[in-house]
Amino acid sequence: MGVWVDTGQCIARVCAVGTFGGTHAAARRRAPSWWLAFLAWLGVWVASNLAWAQAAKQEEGFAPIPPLVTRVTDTAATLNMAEIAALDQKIRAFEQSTGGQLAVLIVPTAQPETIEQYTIRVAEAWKIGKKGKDNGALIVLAMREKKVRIEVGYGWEGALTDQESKRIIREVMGPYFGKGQFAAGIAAGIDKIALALTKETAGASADNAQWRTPHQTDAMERLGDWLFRIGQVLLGLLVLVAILFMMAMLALLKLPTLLVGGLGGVGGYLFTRSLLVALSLGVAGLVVAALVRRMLRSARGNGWVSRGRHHVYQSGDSGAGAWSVASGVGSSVFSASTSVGSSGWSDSFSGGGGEFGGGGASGSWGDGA
Amino acid sequence: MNYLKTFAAAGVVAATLGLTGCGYNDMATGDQAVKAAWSEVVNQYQRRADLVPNLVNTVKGYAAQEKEVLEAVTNARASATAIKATPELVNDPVAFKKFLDAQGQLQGALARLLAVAENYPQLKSDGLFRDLVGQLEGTENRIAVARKRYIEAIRTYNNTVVSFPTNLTAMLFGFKEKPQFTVENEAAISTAPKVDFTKPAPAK
Repeated sequence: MGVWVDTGQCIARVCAVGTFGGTHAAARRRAPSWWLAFLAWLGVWVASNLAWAQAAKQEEGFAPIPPLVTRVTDTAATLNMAEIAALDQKIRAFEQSTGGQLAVLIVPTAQPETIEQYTIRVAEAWKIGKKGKDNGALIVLAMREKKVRIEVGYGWEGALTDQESKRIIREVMGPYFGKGQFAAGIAAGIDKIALALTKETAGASADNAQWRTPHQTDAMERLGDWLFRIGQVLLGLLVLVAILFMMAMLALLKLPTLLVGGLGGVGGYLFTRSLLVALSLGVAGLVVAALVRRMLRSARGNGWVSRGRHHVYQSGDSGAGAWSVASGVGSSVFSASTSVGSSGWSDSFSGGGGEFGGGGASGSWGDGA
Repeated sequence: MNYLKTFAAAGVVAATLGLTGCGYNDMATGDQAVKAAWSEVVNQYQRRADLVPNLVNTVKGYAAQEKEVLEAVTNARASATAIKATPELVNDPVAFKKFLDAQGQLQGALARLLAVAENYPQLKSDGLFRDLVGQLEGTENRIAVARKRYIEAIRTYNNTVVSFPTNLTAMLFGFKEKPQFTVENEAAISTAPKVDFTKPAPAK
């Protein structure tokens, strides 16, 4: 599906550029058409990214991931309303004391996946915990398999270690679940988790932190990314404009059209070793040479020619420059909107963008932990 | 002034098709994402290897007579950590396979060690041993998650490189398709219950 999205984007961009180019006949209307083209491009871009994100969410045949609306999600009808409300209150208090987020999910089954595979998918979708801090935890119960998993975000891995999670499941939650007391078990587990987190010392988190590939500097990374991309684009543009400019110069020197096109093609091939580039640069060379010759034929003196070239350089450069700005604006708008997520205009609970790396522990109840 | 603006349009079309549009940035960032994902996989493999000495010592305390199993784990760890996992490792199929095989051997040896430990109830109830097993399970899961994300990174990158019209840009700049990550013979080597991220047949 991504293929068609990308193709659509490319076609939209080409059309938008064509629109821009095509308005040369109506100079007075040039500005509005340009903005129209940009808006059209932005619209296609946003829509295609949204569509792709939606399609990626649900995969065939796997256990569905419920949407994150409340702190306690029970699709297996294990808890009653009073128990859910009590757990919700407990989690709110937990958030106050630890500063992070916690969510509970009870599903009938995680199959065909293991509970670890299912839980990491849920964690990636729900994004419990604050972005950058990754201070989130997720408790998932799969009723049919009688398995429970505590999934811990990157930021809490140091305080709530794997072995601690394992211990909580084995010694605290397991016994309750074995007796069918799910609400009590979850509540006791949350208490223990809070204890581990608030007991956190700098030493404990440093211990686990050495194993994490550096992850934190998110804002700086994004800025660096941005600058890198702009730099790349500008460099490429510079090269292309330079090649076209050189071809125009050659044409001005009254070289035959075909020779200019041929030289452009040879140059392109030498530069990139790609026949396609050679062909397209050859064609571009022919076009440029032809245009320049027509220019020369109707030129009324050198002054006009040099003015024309200056004008051409400006509009070509500004068109392409505006393109990279547009794509930059578009991508930052889109990523800003996705990171905000569904931050409630009601009291609904939503993730803060926290990330998970697979830390935590699983266990089972009933037939032995 | 017609042809001046036509020229401008031609220039912009060429620039857009060539560079600003159609995937160059996606490919470049995709390439970096693949490298980062591979670093994370290697990171977690190393984490598992570092758990081994403590685990071996703890088991020795209760089950010193299980010499072969203990030696097997120690040797497997040695060969796994002997291979330097640089980012270029993925480009060398022979060395890459050796690296993955060594990791698979280590996983198998650990599974056998844990199976043997089942026979020693005192060992099983030892707090330190339990902690180490908990850490080991966590690390195995982290390895699985890191591999899953590595596979996804490769898939995203390959999609951009292979599909039209971004493959034109790929040819222009020499972006090649990357081999997808597979671990052969993993079932044969390891007896531990493993996390399998290949897509299963749809449940009936």
